Amino acid sequence: MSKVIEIIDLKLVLQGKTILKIPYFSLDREESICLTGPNGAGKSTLLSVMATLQEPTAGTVSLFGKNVKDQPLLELRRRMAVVFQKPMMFDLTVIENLELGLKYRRLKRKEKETRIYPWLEKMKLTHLTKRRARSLSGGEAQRVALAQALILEPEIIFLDEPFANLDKEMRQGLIDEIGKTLKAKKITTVMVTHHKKEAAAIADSIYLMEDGEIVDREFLAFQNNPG
Amino acid sequence: MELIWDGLVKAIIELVTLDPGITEVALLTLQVSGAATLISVLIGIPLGSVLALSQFPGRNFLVSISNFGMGLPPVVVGLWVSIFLWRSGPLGFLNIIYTPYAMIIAQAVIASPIVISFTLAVIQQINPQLRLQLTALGANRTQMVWTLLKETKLGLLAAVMAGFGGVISEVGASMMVGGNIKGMTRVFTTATVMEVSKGNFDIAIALSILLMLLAYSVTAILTAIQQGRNIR
Repeated sequence: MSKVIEIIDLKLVLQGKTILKIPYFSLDREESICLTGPNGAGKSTLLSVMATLQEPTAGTVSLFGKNVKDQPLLELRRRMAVVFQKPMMFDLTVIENLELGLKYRRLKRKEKETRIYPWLEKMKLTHLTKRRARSLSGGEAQRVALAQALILEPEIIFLDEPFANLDKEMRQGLIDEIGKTLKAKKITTVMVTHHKKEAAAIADSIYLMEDGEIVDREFLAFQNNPG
Repeated sequence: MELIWDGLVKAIIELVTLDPGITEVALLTLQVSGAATLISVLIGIPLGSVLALSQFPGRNFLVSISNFGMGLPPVVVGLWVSIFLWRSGPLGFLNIIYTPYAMIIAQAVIASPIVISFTLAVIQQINPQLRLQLTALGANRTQMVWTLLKETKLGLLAAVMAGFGGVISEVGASMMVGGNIKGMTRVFTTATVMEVSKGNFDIAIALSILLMLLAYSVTAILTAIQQGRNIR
């Protein structure tokens, strides 16, 4: 399978401190992985580097088979989606927030509706569409952020602890729903999480990070594909 | 006290009877300051956005110039605009000295740094995570700036109000480049100065009250727009 993410000799130094040191990392198309490890291990930063939101100090990051430096960043970013740990809502209604990414891609109204409405139901957001997004609870905002990313139908999705703000009942339902969608739509996934259960529902393997380095890898493929 | 009372009565009479002379001055005041504010918004919001969202050599210098410009003395602006528009000046061929156009230019020079600096401050205050979110959502530069401007509507309206407040209240520049010509370039501030110099304090008080009423009315409308959308 072709590699959608490939990192070679990556180094990120911020204010004299080495934040990331990754000699090699790669991800095949449709593969799903989790990054786990203690706080400050560099998981979210690595995710940002892969999502082209943080430029590394040294090394090469290739996406879709080409060095990111040789590709227009905007076009690359429009093939991906990111869900941040703390959902950032704009001072707009829920539906307007959901439309943003599609509007930037200049999608027609009909197509926007076709993409948005199934996710409103799946994320239990139908009754909130006209609410100001800033007035949502943490869990509601997180669901909007997840829907906002998924309606973009990205080739790669980056999820930074996406279920952290959800209550227990909502969390389990959504993890299963999103896990199934990601597999069905064959979306390559990189997720940061501390929870093994979340990892098992979404990922094929788990990468353990410590002090900015990947120190271990555990395969979950058997659990996810028991047949 | 009698003087103040006379001024108040005169103001009310002129307002109720819609005195033609006063109406003309009020309209010109609104037109000149309104146009100057509009120009300063058209210059100030894009420039303030660029300064807030970019990093380039000399940026800090430009920011300091803009901040300094917020306190630019109107008489200094009036002097320099006069020099440029004077018949023998570099822009003398325009032949607009002592016209409302010259006053609009002078007032726009006064208001622009106010709008630039307010815009800059408002956009810089936006949570950097919002910009990151827009980048991740695939916004291009124009889409990002537009979304951020919409996000800062409240602050931008404050910038407009500050710019308008700065120009409707200035007198030095309007006097120098407009000349306070009756029926042509006379606005509330220049008329007030003239009446004081003639010793007509009651008329000056009436003019000042009408000026404040006009300034307050415009500000009240902008505030209603600003706060109205905030309580939705």
